[in-house]
Amino acid sequence: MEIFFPKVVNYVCTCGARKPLDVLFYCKHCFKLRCGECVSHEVDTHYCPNCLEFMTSPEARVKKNVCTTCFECPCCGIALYSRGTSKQVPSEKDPSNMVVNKAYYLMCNSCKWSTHDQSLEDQPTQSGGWPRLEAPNQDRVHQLCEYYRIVAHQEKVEKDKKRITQKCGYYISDKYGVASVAAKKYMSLQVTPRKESQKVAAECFASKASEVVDDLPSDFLEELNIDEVTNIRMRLSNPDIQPEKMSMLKMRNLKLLTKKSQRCKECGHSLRKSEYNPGSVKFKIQLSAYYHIPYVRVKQVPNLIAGREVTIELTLTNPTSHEVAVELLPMEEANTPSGSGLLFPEVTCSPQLPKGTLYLPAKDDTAEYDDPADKMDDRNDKSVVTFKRLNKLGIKMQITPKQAENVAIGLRLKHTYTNLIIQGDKREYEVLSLIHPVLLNLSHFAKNSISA
Amino acid sequence: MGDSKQETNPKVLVAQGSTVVRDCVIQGEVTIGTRTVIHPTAQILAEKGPIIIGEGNIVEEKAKIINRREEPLVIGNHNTFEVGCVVEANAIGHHNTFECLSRVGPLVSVGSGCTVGARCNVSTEEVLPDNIVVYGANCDRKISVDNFRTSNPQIDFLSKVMVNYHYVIKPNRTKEGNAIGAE
Repeated sequence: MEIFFPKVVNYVCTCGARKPLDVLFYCKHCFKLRCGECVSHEVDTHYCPNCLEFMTSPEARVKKNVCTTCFECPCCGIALYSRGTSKQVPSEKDPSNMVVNKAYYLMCNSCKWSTHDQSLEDQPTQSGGWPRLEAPNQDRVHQLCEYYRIVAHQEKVEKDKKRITQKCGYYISDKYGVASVAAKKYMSLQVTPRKESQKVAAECFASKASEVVDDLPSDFLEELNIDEVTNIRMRLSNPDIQPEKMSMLKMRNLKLLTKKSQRCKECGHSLRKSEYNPGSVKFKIQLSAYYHIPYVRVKQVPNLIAGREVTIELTLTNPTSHEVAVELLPMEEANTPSGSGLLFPEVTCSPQLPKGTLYLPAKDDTAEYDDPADKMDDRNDKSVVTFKRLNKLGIKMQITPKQAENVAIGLRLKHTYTNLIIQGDKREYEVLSLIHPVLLNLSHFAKNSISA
Repeated sequence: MGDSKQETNPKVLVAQGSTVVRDCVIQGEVTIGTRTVIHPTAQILAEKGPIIIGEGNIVEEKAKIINRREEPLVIGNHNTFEVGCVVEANAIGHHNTFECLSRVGPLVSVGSGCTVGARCNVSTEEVLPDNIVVYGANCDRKISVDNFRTSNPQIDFLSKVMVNYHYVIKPNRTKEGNAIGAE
C-alpha cells in the first residue's frame, strides 16, 4: 500500500497520530478515525505460517506457541522444506538384493542448511518424526515458573484479604446476591496451588553469582574461520543454546503467527475481523478508512524555491458509493477554541485553498469498463478543477513556501459522509459532515522531481 | 527463431549429448560439454578468451556467462546457472549453483560446491572456497556440507523435451566423423 501513499499524505487520527490513510480505521459508529495505536487488539487464532494449521489460544499455549510439524532454519529463520532422497541399500530379507530406500530430510531453500548439518538421521516419512529440541535449562525454567506462580498466588491472596477485611465493616445485604458472590470469591482464595507444583517450587533455589566464568573459546583467538562462526542474529534467535559455531546450530519449531481483530476502544464495535481460516485473506468486517474517507494524493509539485509562489496539483478520490461534497478548510482554524485543539508544528507553509465545495461523484465499479466520457460537474469551480475522471478529481492550489526544504502543508478535509441506518426493514440514509486534518509533506515529493 | 540453418559460428564446439537451443546467444569461442543444456535467451559471451563449459551444466533463460579476459574461462561439471544470473568469474569449479539474478564479478574464482543465492552479489577480488553458500539480503556466507548434487533427472527431462519445441544446434563431429564428447 506504500505505493499509494509514500508517506507524503498523512491523516491525523483522532488520537493525534499521523498516519497514511491505508493504515487507519474508520469507526462507523463513532464516525471517527482510529489508528492501530488507539484500538484494542484481540488475538483470534494462532496459526502456523507454513502449514496453515490453526489452533486456539490455550492449545497454542500448551504447544509453547510453536508448530509441531514445521521447522525453521537456524541460520536465516525461514521455514525448512522437505527433500527426498533415494538410496540403494541391501534388502533386509535378502542381502544380495538391492532395494531403493526413500528417505527425507529438511533443508533451507535460502542458505542450504540441512538436517545433515545437525547430523540428524533422515526420516522415512515426509513430515514429522523429528526429535523435539529440549532446552538445556528446561527443568530450571519450569521450577522457576512454578515458584513464581506460587509467589503470585500468595501476593494475590494477601491483597484480596486486605480488600475483604476492609469491606467487612459494611453490612452486606443478600438482597442483591452480593454476599454469595463475595463468599465465593473468598472461597476461591482459599484454594492452594497443586501439590506437585508446590513440590517443584520447594526445590527451587536462588541462583548464585560466580566469579569463575568460562574462558573465551580458544578458536576465536587462534585460527578463526569466519564462515564457521555464527553471527549475532543466529545466536540471539537460539537463546537457550547460544551456539558459537555453525555446527552447533539446531533447527527450531516454527513459531506461530496470530490473526488479530481490532475493536474500537470507545464504542466497542469491531473495526476489523478476519476470517478464522488462516488460508483466507478475506475479512468478515473491514472498516478501513481507505474505503470510507476521500483520499488526497499529491499529483504534481514543481521545484520548491523559498518565497516563490508555485502551483501544486492534488487529486481527491471518493471511495464510497455515494456522492461526496468536499471542502478544503485551512488548518489554522483548528487551533481556535472551538476546533479540535490539535496543534501541527510540522506545517511550515499555508496554502491558498480553493474556496467553495467540490463534488466527487460516487465510485462506480462498472464505470471502469465504459468509455471515459467524463463531463465536468457544473457545480465545481472550473478555475480550481484540473481534470475529472470517474470518482477522481484533480485540483490545483497555490503555495508560497517560506523555505525550500521541509515544506509541509496542512488542511482540514471537510466532507460529507452518507451513513446507512438499518432499522428493521427500513433503510435510511443520513448525511453527516466530517472533518479530518490532513498533512502533506511536499518536500519528499519535490526532491524526487528535482532528481528526475 | 525461424531459420533452420545450422549456426554459422565456426568457433562454437558442441559435444554429443548436449542440448543447445539455437535461440541462445553464443559469441566467440565457446566449447560446450556433453549433457549440458543451454536454454533459449541464455547468453554465453566469450568476448576475448574462450569459454569452455564442462559436462552436465544447465544454463537457464537469460543467464549470462561472460569472459572478458584473454585467458580461457573453464567451467567445470554439474553447475547450474539459474534464470537471470550474470557470471563473469575467471574460473568455476564443479557442482556450483548460481541462483536467480545472482551476480558474480570478474575478479572472482569460484571453487566447487558453492551456491550464490538469489539476488546475491559476489564482486570482490577473491577465491570463493569450496562449499560456500552466499545467501540472504546481506550476502551472508556460510559453509554448507551437502552441496554436491547433480541435476541428472532434470537434464534428462530437458534434453528430451527441449528438442520438441526448439531448434537445437547439432553437435560437431571430428574430421573422421566421430562424435565429440561421447565416450
